[in-house]
Amino acid sequence: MDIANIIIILVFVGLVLILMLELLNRAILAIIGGLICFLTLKFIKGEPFSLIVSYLFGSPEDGYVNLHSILLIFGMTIIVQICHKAGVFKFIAFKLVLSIIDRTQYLLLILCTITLILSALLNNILTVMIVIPLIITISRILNIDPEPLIITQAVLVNIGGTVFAISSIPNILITNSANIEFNEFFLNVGILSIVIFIITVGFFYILYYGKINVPKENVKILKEFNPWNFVQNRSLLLKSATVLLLVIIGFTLIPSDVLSADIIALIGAMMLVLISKLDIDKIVQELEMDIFIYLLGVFIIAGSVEYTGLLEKIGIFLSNLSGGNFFVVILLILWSSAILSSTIDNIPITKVLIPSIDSITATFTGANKKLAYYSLSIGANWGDNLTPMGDNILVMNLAEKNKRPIRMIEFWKVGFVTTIIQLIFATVYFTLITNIIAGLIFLVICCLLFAFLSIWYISKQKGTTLGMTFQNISKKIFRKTNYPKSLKIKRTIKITKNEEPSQEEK
Amino acid sequence: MHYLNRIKKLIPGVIQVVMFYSNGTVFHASSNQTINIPSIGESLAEIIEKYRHLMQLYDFEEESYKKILYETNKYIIAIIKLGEESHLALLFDNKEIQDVKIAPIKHYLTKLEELIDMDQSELNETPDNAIN
Repeated sequence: MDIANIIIILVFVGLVLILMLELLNRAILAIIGGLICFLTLKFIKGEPFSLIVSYLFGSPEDGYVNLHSILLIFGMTIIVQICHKAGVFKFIAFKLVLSIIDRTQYLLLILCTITLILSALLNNILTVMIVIPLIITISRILNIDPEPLIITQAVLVNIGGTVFAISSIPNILITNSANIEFNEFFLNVGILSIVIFIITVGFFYILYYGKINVPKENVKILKEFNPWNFVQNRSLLLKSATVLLLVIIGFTLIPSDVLSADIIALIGAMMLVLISKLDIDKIVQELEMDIFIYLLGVFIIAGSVEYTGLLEKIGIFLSNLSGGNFFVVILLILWSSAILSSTIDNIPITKVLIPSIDSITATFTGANKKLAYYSLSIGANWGDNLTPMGDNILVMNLAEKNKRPIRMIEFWKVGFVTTIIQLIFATVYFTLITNIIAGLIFLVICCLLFAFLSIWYISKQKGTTLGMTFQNISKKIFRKTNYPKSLKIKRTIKITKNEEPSQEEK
Repeated sequence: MHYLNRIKKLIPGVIQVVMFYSNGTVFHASSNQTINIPSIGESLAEIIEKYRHLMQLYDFEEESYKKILYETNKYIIAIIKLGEESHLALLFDNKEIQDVKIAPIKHYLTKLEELIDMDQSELNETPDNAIN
């Protein structure tokens, strides 16, 4: 290995370490790394500037994949920012909460649904910045402990990140690189995410059984909260929500060979800028430019790492490790990307793993190749909560800022267990696709284990034995069944007999 | 909003009332929908934050504020602390009011605080009243 390759790999390792330790702003860090890579390639390898341009924006061979990604992120950022300014997300979220507030047992479910919807449309950071203060405000009015609600939303935000191809930056990078259509991604990963969301919410209901108690009298006060207080201008709200909806419909209906997603997003963004009549200078000023600078830096570093041939070697190593078995490759990608993204930002990880997956799946069919990318998307998005070093630090900060601090260990315990459950069910999904019988057996085992552990946990919470809880559940099922009339009468007689005190008791 | 109406009756000259949280969320605003309510909430929260920062710059002992007053010839804006993170902003007509006194409305302020903002300490004391 020559000196240039060593420098480039050291830059990548340095980027990963400094990102982990949060020693420097990520945009500045990526640009410094990109600069070192550029200088190394220019002066040691004698490469032209055009190589760096191809790393930044892509080349005609790869269909300018990086440029498409940047434009899509840019367009969606503008739309989301104007919608956020118009109060669209807070208004819808609060309206949804008010719609179920009389049936307080659904509070957790509706908050989870709001988080899923928001994180499917926005990035995780903006989602938690909207949802966490909202939950704390609601909990102040309802006089409830917000900790379970905050923890659940912080965990679920990652699931929302895989609903659509535009839900997170790793998805945008993956779908653009692998030519995956918006609808295709939703059918293969989005629906799975919704199923896993339902399982996760079920898990939370069991975990927080009897712990989210809403005093009825406080519900009346919450009802006095006017959701229109989140809205600065009704007409802007309507315009923003319409454009957002039109853009999503555009992604769904227009094939990418007719009009690519980035152009649809840009048309929507420019339309909204013009019709919103907001101060354009202010919108541009408020754009978070650091994410674009960061992406450009990461593109150069990832391209340079690919130049060294290291990613191809990783691909060959993983391919050898799996013995060329497609199923093992999928699981390796799923679990390794989840573990890596739990400690490192998932954007560079995804960008670096894409070429490796390209080389591992070189011999696979088109459909199987896409499955490998789906597993990368799931792993890179869902792995965040395996360690306390992911985006969840922001949730901690927000909770503390709103005077409702959460213990990191409490958060991590729930996050870790939930992520493992989610990844196990994702493994079941991929098993089902590759071998339906083995997948079904695996699914039944997982469901039975999940049900047994749930009943054991509820019995522990109630202070009863496992057998008693089983009896209670079977009693509930028995009561709800329509039995023949005669049997009902017999049951009534038995109960009446039991209730009557005996002669001795009298 | 019964208590807010009582406050308005007890203090003559109140033109507008805004009840808001430190994060800028407005719980109640007496003004109509043509006014940019979220922006009002954000500005009021920012004012409190600026004063808190000022106290830090002077290295004053950190303690929560009681009220902030801003007076012009025509109007007076008073921001009063309610609970842990909740506040009440009152806008007065300066001609109709001599001095902003909180004492007569203190009872209602406490009631409002109990309704919309529970302290962390109270939360820890609250027994489980499960309805699930």
